[in-house]
Amino acid sequence: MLSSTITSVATTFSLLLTITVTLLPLSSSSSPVHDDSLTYIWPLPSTFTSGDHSVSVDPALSLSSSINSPIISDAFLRYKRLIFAHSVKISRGFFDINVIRIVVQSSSDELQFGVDESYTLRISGRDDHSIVGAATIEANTVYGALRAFETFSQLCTFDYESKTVKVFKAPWFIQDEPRFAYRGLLIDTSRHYLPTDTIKRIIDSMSYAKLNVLHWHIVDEESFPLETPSYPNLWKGSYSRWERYTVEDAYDIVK
Amino acid sequence: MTTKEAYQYFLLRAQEIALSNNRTPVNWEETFISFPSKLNPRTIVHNWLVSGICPKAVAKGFRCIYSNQGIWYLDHLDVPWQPVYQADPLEGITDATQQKLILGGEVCMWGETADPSDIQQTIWPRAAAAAERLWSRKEATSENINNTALPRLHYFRCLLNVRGVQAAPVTNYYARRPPTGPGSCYEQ
Repeated sequence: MLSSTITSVATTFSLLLTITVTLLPLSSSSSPVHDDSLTYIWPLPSTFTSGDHSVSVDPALSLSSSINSPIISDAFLRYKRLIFAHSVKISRGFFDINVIRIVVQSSSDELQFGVDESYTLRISGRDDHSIVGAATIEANTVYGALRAFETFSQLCTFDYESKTVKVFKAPWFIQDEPRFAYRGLLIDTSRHYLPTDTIKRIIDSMSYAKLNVLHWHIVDEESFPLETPSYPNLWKGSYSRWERYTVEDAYDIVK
Repeated sequence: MTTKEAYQYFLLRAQEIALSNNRTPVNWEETFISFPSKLNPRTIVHNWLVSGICPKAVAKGFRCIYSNQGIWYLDHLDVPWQPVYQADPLEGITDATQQKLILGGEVCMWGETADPSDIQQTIWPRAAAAAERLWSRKEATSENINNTALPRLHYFRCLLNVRGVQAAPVTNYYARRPPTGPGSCYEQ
């Protein structure tokens, strides 16, 4: 009945017809894609408990940190962009989570193999007796706090009904640390050149999975793209004069 | 000087330079296989070709990184997510002191058939399978993985897509292929 009505009207509605017909079988299938008994954090934290509240996250989320570290403030802005990728409904006052509080023990941001990446993350529920709802991160180092940001961002989901960002199954209490200190990905820029921007995107994506070592297999027998000031002829072995890394490029990536 | 002697000379000389600059040499497993007694004990052995190298290396007191090429080489497109997920760096090592010498592992995106056009699809989602193995407790991530890990890996793959990472479908027979038909991101 519906489809015959639509087919009788002008062809400009053929798109509408396509949408209608495609949606019909979907609405009849009820296979749940989302299993609420599972914890949708990847990789799975070491220990955690959750509740049954849904709490909203303020798009004007603020940061309160025990240390003044650009690593923390940059990460906060990065993750805020990821969490609020959808434009949310114009703020009408109340949100449950308004602030991320961070307590970091060590003031050193030295990055060495084996650095402490452990963290604790608490997200309050609705009935907590606090005036301002908060997510609280405690870590020994700023690098533990970075891991906590990632976990927090994975718990923040856009709710299409209320058009706000929500954390489901709050309150959350998560204590987490890695099983291994070396969690690496090798990339190979000898067999194919990778522009520095591609490498940076790969590094960003590694942080989403809490991988922490980039092994840059920069040269091999197929091509030698790297500038080496002591042997300036070596990078003439690059595939072309456009497929090279300057010393500055290399510093930039490593930094 | 034979070729083998030249190889040994070159490697040991490079090690000395690294050590004198207060760096730690990480060597692909060939040096450990060829001249283990000559290696500086601070050397870290990086496994790739031969399975069972890490157990041998830690038994001799070396530290080791696990990258078993049969499963953790991402350029091997015919390896599905499950073996990547189930691989374990501590495989074959029961002694607790020796287990501590396993630093972790690395998935390898060798570049012969990967460039900016397809590298993220080849890395993800299988690198994520290894990432959970390396981060999470083994006991919590080993049982019934098709029901406990797979839906979560689908979810993470879609999260990567939302964040602009071109992660490929999880259950395609060959890695990095586009979807085989219409369907939800969370089920393919």
